[in-house]
Amino acid sequence: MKSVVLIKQVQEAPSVQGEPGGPGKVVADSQNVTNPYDLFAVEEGIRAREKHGGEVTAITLGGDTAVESLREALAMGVNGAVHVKDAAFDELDSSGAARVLAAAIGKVGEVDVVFVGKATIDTNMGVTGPMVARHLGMTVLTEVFEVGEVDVAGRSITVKRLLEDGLQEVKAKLPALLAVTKDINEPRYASLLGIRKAAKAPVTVWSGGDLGVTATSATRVAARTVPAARPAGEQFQGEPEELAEKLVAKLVEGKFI
Amino acid sequence: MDFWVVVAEEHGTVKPVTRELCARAAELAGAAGGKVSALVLSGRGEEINQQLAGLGVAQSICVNSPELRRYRTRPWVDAAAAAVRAHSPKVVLVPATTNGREFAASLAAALDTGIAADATEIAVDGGKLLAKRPVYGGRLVDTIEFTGDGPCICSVRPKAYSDPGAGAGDAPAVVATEAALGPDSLDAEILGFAANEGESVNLVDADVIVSGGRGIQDPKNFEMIQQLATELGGAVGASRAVVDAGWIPYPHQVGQTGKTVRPKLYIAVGISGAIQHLAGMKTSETIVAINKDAAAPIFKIANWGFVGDALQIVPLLTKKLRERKGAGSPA
Repeated sequence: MKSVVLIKQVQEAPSVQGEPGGPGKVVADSQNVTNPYDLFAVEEGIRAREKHGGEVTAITLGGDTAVESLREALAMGVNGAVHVKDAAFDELDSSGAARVLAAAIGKVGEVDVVFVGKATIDTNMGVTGPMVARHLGMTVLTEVFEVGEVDVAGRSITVKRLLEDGLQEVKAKLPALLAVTKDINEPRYASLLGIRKAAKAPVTVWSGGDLGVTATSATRVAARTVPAARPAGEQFQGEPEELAEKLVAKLVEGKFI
Repeated sequence: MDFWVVVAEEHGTVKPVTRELCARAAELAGAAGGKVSALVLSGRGEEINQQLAGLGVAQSICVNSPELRRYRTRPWVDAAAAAVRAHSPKVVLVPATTNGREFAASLAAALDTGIAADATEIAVDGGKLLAKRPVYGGRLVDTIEFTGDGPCICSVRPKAYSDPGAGAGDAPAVVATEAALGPDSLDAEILGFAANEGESVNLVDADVIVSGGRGIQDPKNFEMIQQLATELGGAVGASRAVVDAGWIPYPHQVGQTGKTVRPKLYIAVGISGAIQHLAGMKTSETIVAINKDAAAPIFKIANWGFVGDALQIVPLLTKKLRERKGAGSPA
């Protein structure tokens, strides 16, 4: 089984600047980490290899520091790492990024499964994975919290998905792209040996020219603002009995009961 | 500037989000000089068309195929992409449900165009669609502008706009077509579905949510949360801390790594209000917080904050609500 994991480096918890209701921006004051959801995807990719053989390659699209996320994936146990790096890709939107990543996966070769995290914690769109799947003609399966039977020769995979109102079991054709939720596994910690090996492991670097893509964006962020503050609320203190009575009165006032 | 709304329905009943989006699309199309069409892919156009009356929908484009009866992404996207190419609407609005999000992204890729996902507000300015969406855990809001030539695909969160309710009047005109789906369109088969147990209403659709956090002290106190939720006709939510601790399953988690909700009433019980939790619920219409710690961040966004022992207040509250109803069952 040949699989790919798409990962992205994000800022862990950057602060934001700006007044409520006014323009805002992110301050680069937080450490870079691998998008937390992507670690579940890396783990799932490694488990797939452990179970079905083959290999798993991590791919990232990003600037120079993004290689740190590839090292982390290598330390966890992926076989190969590809860094797609090109100044022309710096400001790409999701649709552009999906084109680039699809081209990178295509260059890796015939892939059975692509694993991605369900979204990134910065812009939280969750669309790049499904878009990549569509470009590559892969079955798209989002909100996957369990991978069941995988029949590589028979070209099928069975997964469970988490929907709003319940759990869905789907049998899909391979190749497939799986966007995984945080409940799917517990990502392993890299061993000391793994970290040492990863530091020396080769990382393939591909530019837009190497991939033969000139991706463009179809959207742009026209404005970034700080949401208006909620109006100050009321606070009540007292004995539980009084507070419960007050809350009933408030619920009546708000026409909730 | 023509708008399409992809209809979300279940067993022949349209979901509220469908009406929310149709009504908003009608406002925008009216101002921008265009019309609204509903795109019905489930093959149940006949059954649901009347439910689209009074919402400003000019026509229902019904794409029929036995393979579309039950939602599956690939055949729905293939059918929708063909219809969009044939009619060239400027905007396609999709309910941002779990399946809707997957559908919208796939549709945008199929049409080689851009997407704004999980919008909480949409507007038109100078003939351009603008979509607002929260980023960085809701601490910032981006306004996405479409710069390409293709249709603007936009998934919009349920409850972003108020539900106008079932309308009266004439049903939209029906434009029926058959989908031409080849074997490539059929890439997935639904083997089964297990509805969430003990849940009459799911979190995302719920008008009332009662959520529990660390402050309820014991997993068995979720019974108390459930009882209050039941009394208010609502659903049960939870903070990440208690989900991670195994007190309640992940589908109940509200917050950045869980569900984003926007009920009319959100009652946070024993939840301190970590920024990740606030990201998932701070746009609720009315927020009630019950917490021992008067300095808990949740009080900063609560409309009504109650400083006290949740373990005492909540059962008292449930009892009083029951007494008011005259149900008479002792708490």
